[in-house]
Amino acid sequence: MRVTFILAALAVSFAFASADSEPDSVFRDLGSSDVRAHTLQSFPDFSFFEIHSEAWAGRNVEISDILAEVAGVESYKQGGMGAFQSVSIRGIAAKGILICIDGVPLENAGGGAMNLSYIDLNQIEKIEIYKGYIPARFGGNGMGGAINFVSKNSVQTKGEFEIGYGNFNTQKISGFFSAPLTDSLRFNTSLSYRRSDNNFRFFNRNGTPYNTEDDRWEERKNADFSQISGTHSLEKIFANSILSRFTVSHSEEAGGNPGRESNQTVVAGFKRNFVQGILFSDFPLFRALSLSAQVTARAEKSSAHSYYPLDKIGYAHPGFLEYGVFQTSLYPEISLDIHPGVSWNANFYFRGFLDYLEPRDSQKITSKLKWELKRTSGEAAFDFSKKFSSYFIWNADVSARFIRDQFYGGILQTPTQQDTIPASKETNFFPSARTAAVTAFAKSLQGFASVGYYERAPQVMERYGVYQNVLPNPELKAESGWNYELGLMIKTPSENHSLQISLFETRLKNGIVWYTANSFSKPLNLSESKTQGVELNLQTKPFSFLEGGIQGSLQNPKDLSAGIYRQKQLAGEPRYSFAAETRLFLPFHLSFTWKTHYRSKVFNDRANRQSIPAAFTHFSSLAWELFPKSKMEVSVQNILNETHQNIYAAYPQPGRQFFASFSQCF
Amino acid sequence: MKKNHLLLLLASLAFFACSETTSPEKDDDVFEPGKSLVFTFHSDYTSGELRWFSPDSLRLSESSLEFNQDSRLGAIDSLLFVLERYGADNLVLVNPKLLPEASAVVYQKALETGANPSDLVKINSETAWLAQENSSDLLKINMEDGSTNATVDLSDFAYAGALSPNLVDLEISGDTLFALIQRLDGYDPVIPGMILLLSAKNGSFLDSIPLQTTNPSAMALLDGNIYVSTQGAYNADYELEADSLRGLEQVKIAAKTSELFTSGKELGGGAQSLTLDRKNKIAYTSIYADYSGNKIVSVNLKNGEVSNVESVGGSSPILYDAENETLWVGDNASSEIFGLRGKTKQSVTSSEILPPYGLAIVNF
Repeated sequence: MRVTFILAALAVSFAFASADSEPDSVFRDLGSSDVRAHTLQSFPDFSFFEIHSEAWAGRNVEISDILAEVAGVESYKQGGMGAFQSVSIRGIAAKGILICIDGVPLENAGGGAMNLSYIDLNQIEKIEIYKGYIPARFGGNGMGGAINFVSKNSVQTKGEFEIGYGNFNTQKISGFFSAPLTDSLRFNTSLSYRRSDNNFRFFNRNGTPYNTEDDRWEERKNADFSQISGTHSLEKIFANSILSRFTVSHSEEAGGNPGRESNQTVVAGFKRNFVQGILFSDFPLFRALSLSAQVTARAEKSSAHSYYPLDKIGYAHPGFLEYGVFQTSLYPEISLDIHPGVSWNANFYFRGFLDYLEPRDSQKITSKLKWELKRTSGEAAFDFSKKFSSYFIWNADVSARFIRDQFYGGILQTPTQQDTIPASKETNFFPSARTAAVTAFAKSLQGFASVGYYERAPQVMERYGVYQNVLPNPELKAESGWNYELGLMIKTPSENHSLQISLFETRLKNGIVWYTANSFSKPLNLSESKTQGVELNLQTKPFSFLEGGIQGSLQNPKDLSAGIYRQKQLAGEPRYSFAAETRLFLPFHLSFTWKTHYRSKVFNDRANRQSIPAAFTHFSSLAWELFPKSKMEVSVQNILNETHQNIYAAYPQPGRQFFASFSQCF
Repeated sequence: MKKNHLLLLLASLAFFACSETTSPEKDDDVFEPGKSLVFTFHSDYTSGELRWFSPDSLRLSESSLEFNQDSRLGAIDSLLFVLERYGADNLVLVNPKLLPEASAVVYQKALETGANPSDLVKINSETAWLAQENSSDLLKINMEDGSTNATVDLSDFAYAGALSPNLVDLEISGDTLFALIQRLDGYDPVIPGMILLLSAKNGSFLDSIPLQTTNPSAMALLDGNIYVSTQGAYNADYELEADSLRGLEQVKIAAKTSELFTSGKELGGGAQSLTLDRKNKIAYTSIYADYSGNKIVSVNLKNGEVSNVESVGGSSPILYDAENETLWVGDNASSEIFGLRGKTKQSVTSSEILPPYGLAIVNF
């Protein structure tokens, strides 16, 4: 059925290609970032949502908290600044969500969910969220959705400077500058530094839920984090409107790994160095045709360390242990943009992904252990949009990815495990497709429908057992799933008020889970799930001094796997959640913001034995534009100090956080 | 009219109030003097729970108590101990007479982080020895409140450079405490295991008996011998090969010698769990060969004859119930709990449960 669907999407899109011009559309232009901004018409997709930098500028908020305010997105984090954090979308877990920066997937061939704390929001202009589908222009390996972080980049001469301080010795300083060097050469640069001691107080239950006598308040130790990051670009326009841009991004972070609630560490920590270069060129060939070429080169070194017995992890290797991974990647891409008029456009993408991983460590105990992993993959993708009339637009995204994995064998070392990686080589093919349509019943009433099929290729760690006590499974199949959506949007003629309602269903088959027997785990395609729900997005601006909105999700995330997990609520997914925001513009250039986020009870585990009760978190800020382009802001995150965690998987949270900042634009 | 409305409202409230209080009670087996209860620990490697059943009813409790996903059970007299292992490292005392209430947990004592408690044996009515797999400390505890009376340092017996000798099992006979240590190099069993003979009174070192094979997992005393199940080393595919590098060893206590009584060749893999039918001198052991599953075999300790008993999933617990002459088995793959009495199989009925992970019997 999926092949039929993919072929049908392709065939229909070619059949509908037409060069007829069309009158102006009634559709709102949601806009979407693109490194080729002038070549792509945007499709008014109901599954697409943007968050701009006003949501985090001058505030101490985490990416996962920002994203969780979007209906259908749920967040997970293990602590304060720098701690692991991830999100799920409409019941699809973090490993199935594609994370990109400027359209380039942040995909670690070593596997696992992407840690969002590596991304510094001070570098980011806006966040694009695609719920339930992966745009063909991104590529990569995902199925539940995509989140694209768009770096700061301006075509205007401008600068920004921001400095802030908060409790737990939280510090942020960042600057951005954009200016033309010549008539055809522009320079953008962004640099930021942030750090926190994360030494918040938390309630330690000592891992004994039946014994409250040994509970005590403690200060979080060994949880400090610091990061320097930057993005710098040079953009030149050549003759014949050829555009070239070279962008370098870099990030260095380090911090402690504090451990769980009842097992705080002393020495354990991590370091990460990341540098990425993107060379992009856009060649308008004809009026209706342009060719783009891009090469991304990336190097990343991640390492962690611990010391047993001060740190009660990695008991098998007493003393200091350091272990890590060095990854180099090369992603070439060519794309062809066909845009003969306003009635239709099509894009073809051809990408390659070359990833190479090897160990990095400085200890004698691990230096004798060598391993190499290489993953080569290629992808062909296609998207097409056709505007039939002022009231109907149709879109199709199709992609096909082949992945070739080659393992040279060796032994992988981490503090708690060690595993032998067998040598192997194989190639697999993974297709995806999605079709959507938007219709305007009236100027203020739009409808939307989409159907998508996706496959997520098994990650390296899932296929080849790169951890201790984990068996390989070369027979592992891709996860597959269908996503459906029906939506309706109503807005007032003044566009001051809008309401969007979406019904969605996400189905997952052949979900990869670790099945444990006899202390060994083997990845198997055992999981099946279905999440049905309704999302609501109300935005209102009743007065010039007041605006607000509420986004909510009501869903039924069900585990449909055979056995004891059948009909259980998916781990980490609430049935209800909502986020409400109010912004009040006051005299004397003051503005007050209040946000409330609620999520109903969630379970840590598939068997629904470990529950975390419903939680409200509140945010408030007061900003003052004391001078033109100058702003001071004070904010409080998690006003009610909500930090409850299930005792069996407890990572203390920072609770209430205060932050004050000053920013200047020029 | 208003009066009728009020009466209707009151009647409705009464109806709902009664409805709220008349929730169906669980029909779980409870403590009965002179009877026994079989306790089962269940785990899916994320969550763990304790349940129980009576050998008479064969009906697993609907109630459960939640514990760390990796826990072992130990019965001493009419008390049940739960050893919450690595990641929780707690010693828990459960009074079965108070089940199913949470107050049945008499105490939950936090041990040293990462200690990984592995076994508990009674010295007298008040004290017991507690083995810790990832700590060099052997603890003498007060069973009444879980406090530590004494600590014995066994670090001298660890493999060179390791912090723990990996103490996995304890047995007591008379004045002697037998301690089974794996002596791993990290995770690797590079040298044979060993049995330490310690004073049962104060834990002082008396003697040691080296084993012939590596990676021992359990032992049992019978007729002046100690039978030890050993797994040996895993190969690169996490398999335990059917060879002479593992099996069931027989340790002659008086002679301080050990030999391979039944090798992995006869057993079909490495030997893990071990339980004895002392009356008929039969040892039951679970054999692991590869990920696809375990099997339970019986070894006749009089003539060495090996027989296959049942195929089960990995990590399936087994326990011989001398009182009921039944071998209780928890099949980790099918989540079935059953008893084997000769050729007769008795299944324990249960509703949705996590896979069985441990067994213990408390005789009242």
